[in-house]
Amino acid sequence: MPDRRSGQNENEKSRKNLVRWLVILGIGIPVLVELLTLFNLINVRFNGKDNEPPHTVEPTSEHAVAQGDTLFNTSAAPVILQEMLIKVNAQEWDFELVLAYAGEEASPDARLAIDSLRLQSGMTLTSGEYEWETEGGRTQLEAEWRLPSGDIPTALFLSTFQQLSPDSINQIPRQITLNKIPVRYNSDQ
Amino acid sequence: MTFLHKYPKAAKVSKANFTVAFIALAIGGLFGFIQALHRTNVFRGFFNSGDYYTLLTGHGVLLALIFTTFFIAGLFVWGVTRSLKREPENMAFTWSWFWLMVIGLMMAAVTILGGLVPGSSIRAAVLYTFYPPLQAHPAFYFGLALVIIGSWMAGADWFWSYNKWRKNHPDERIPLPAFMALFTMLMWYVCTIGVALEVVVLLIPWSLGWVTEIEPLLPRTLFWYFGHAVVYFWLLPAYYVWYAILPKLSGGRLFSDSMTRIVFIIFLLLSTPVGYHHQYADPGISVGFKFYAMATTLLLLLPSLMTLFTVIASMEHGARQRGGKGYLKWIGKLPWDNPAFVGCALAGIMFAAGGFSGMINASMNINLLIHNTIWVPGHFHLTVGTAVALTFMAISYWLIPQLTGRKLKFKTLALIQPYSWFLGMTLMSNAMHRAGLAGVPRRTAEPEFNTNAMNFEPVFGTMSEMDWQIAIGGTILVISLILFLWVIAGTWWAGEKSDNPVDDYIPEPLSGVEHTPAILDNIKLWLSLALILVVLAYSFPLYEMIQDGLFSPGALPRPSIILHLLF
Repeated sequence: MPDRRSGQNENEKSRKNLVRWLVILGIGIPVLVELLTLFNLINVRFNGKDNEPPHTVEPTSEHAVAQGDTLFNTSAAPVILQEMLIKVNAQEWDFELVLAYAGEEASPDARLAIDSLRLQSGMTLTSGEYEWETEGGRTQLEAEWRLPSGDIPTALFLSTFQQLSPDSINQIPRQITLNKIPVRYNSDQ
Repeated sequence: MTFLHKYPKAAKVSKANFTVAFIALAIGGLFGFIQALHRTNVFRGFFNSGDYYTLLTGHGVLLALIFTTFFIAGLFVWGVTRSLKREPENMAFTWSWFWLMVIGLMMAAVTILGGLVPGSSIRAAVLYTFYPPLQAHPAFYFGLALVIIGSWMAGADWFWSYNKWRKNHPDERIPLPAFMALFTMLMWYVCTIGVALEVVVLLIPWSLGWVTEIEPLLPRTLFWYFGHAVVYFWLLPAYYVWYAILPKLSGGRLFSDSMTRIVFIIFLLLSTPVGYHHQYADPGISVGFKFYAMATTLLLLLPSLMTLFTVIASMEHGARQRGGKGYLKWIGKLPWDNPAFVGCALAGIMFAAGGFSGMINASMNINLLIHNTIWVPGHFHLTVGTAVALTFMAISYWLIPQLTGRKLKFKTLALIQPYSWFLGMTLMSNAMHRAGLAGVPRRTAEPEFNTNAMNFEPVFGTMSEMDWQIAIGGTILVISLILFLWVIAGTWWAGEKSDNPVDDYIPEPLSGVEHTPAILDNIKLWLSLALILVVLAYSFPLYEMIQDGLFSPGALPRPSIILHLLF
C-alpha cells in the first residue's frame, strides 16, 4: 500500500514538473516573443532606426540590370532588356528573356549572342533556344530556358562582336548581373 | 453511462462528422506546413511554385470550410441531442445531409487536387474565397453548393428536434446549449444566402460557359456578405464550447445564462451587415457604406468583450472552487494539466490577440497599411487557426471519449499538444504580422519577386529572421497536429473501454435561466431584426452598383443614389 502511494506521488510529481516545463516553454516563450516585439516597436517609435545598423535591404549589385534597362550604353549598338520574366505553370518553371536593339540596326546576329545563363543554385545553362527577329522596325531576340523548379537566374553571359576589318571580328565576352526577376503564374498552360 | 450509451445513433453521426473533419485537418495542415517552408525559402523541394495556388486552395478550403463545417456538425449533433435529450428525429434524413456534404466535399477536393496531376484539366486553384476572375472547374462550385445545402439540412434537422421538444415542453425555456446551436444556425442561414446566390446564379453558369463575362464586383460583394459572417460560424461553436463546457473544465459553473444568450443574439444581428469591411479597397462601393460597415464591425467587439468577461469570470469561479485566492493567484489553481482545459484557455487568450489585430483590419484608414499583406493570414491564424481550431482539438479530448466509450489515451502527448500549438502559432503569427507591416504580400509563392517594393523594410528585425520564425512556427504546428491526430486515433481505436470514460456532467449556470428575460428566446423576433439589418446594409449599395452599370460592364457610371438623394 505505501509503495502504491509513493508511486502515485512520484507520478504526481513528474506530472507537475511536466506542466511546469510546458508552461515555461509553451506560454513563457510566446509571452517573451510578444514583449520583445512590443519593446522593439516602442523603441523604434521613440528612438528611431538611426542608431541601428542597416540590416533590412539585401545588397544589390550596382550593375544588376532589370527589365527596361539598357545594356552597353556606351557602345555603338545599345541593347534594351525588354522583358525578363519567370513564367510558372503547374509543372514547369520557364525563364523568358527578350532583348532588343535600341536603334534599328541591321544584322544583329553579327553583333550579339547569348552564351549561357547562371542560376542561383550555381548551375550554368547553355544558351537556350533563341533567334533574332525584326518586328515593327525593331530587331529583337527572344530566348527561353526551362529552369529547375524554384531556381532563379542571377547572371547572363553574352558575347558582343566588333567588326575590326572585313575579315576580322573581335569577340568580347560580357557578364550581365540580373536584378530580381518577376515570377508570374500562368494558369493558361 | 456516457453519451454513446444514451444516444448511440447520434454518437454515430457525430463520429462520422468528426472523422471527415480530422482527415481534412490532416491534409490541410500538411499543405500549410509545406507552404510555410516554401514561401519563406527555407525548403522548396516539395513542389513547384506553379502548384502553390493549388496547395493554398487545398489548405484554405480543407481547413476553413471543410474541417470547420464537419466539426461543427458533429459538435452540434452532440450538443442538441444532449441538451434536448432526444436522438435525431429521422435517421434517414440525418444521414442524407451527412452524405450530401461528403459528396460535395469529394467533388471540391478532387477538383483542387486535380491541379497536382500533370496535364489535368480538372483544376480549382481559386483559393478559399473562390470569386472571379479566378475560375474553377464546375464540379468545384457544385461540390461547394452541396456542402452548403447539406449544412442547411443539418440545421433543419436540429430545428426539427427543437420543434418536437417544444411540443412536449411548451412552457420551458430553450436549454442553453440548444439555444447557442440554433442561433448559430440562424446566422448561418442568413449569411449563406449571399454565397448560395453567388455560386448558383453567377459562378456555375460562368464555369459552364453559359455566361462568358462576369463583373467581379457583384460576386465579390455576395461572397463577403457571407465571408465575414462565416468567421462567426466558425467562432460561435468555439464560444459554445467556452460557455457550455470550459467553466465545467475549470471546476466551476458558467457565470451568466442571460449574458450568453445576449451575446449569441448580437452575433446573429451584426455578423452579416459588416461584409463591406473586406472591400475597403474595392472600387464601386461608396465610402459611406464602407464607413457604415466599419462602425457595425467595431460594434461586434461588444459581444466579444462580454464573452471575455463571462468566460474569465466563470474560470475564476472554477479556480476559487479549487482553492484559488487573491486577485491573480487563482490562475495557478486552474487545471493546467488537463489538455481539454489548456487548449480552450490558450485558444481564448489567442483570440484576444486576434481581436486586437482585427481592430486594425476593421478600421478603414489603417487597414490600408496592411491590406493584402501577410498580416491578414497572420490575423486569421490567430482567430480561426487557433481560437477555433485549438478549441476544437482540445474539446475533442473531452468529446471523443464520450462518443467512443473509451478513455483518453496518450495523456502526456495530449497535454503537450495545446502548449506546442500555442508556441508554434505565436512564433508564426507574430512574424507574419511583422512581415505584413513591412509590406510582404500574402498569397504568393514568391513574395520578394511580386511587388514593386522588392526590398522590404521591416520596422525592426530582418526579413530572414522573420522567414525563419515562420518556418520554425509552422514546423512546431505540424508536430502539434501530428500529436493531436495520434492521440485521437489511439483513443478511438485502442483506448480503454469504459462506461464513464470522462466526467461529462455539466452544472447549471451561477445566474440561471430564471434570471433571463423571456424575450431573448423569441427566435422569430431576432431573426426578423437580423434580416431587416441585412436589407438596410445591402439594399442601398446594391442599388448603387446597378446604377453604376453592374449589369452592363464597361458602361459609364451614373450618379450614385446619394447624389440622387441630395439633388
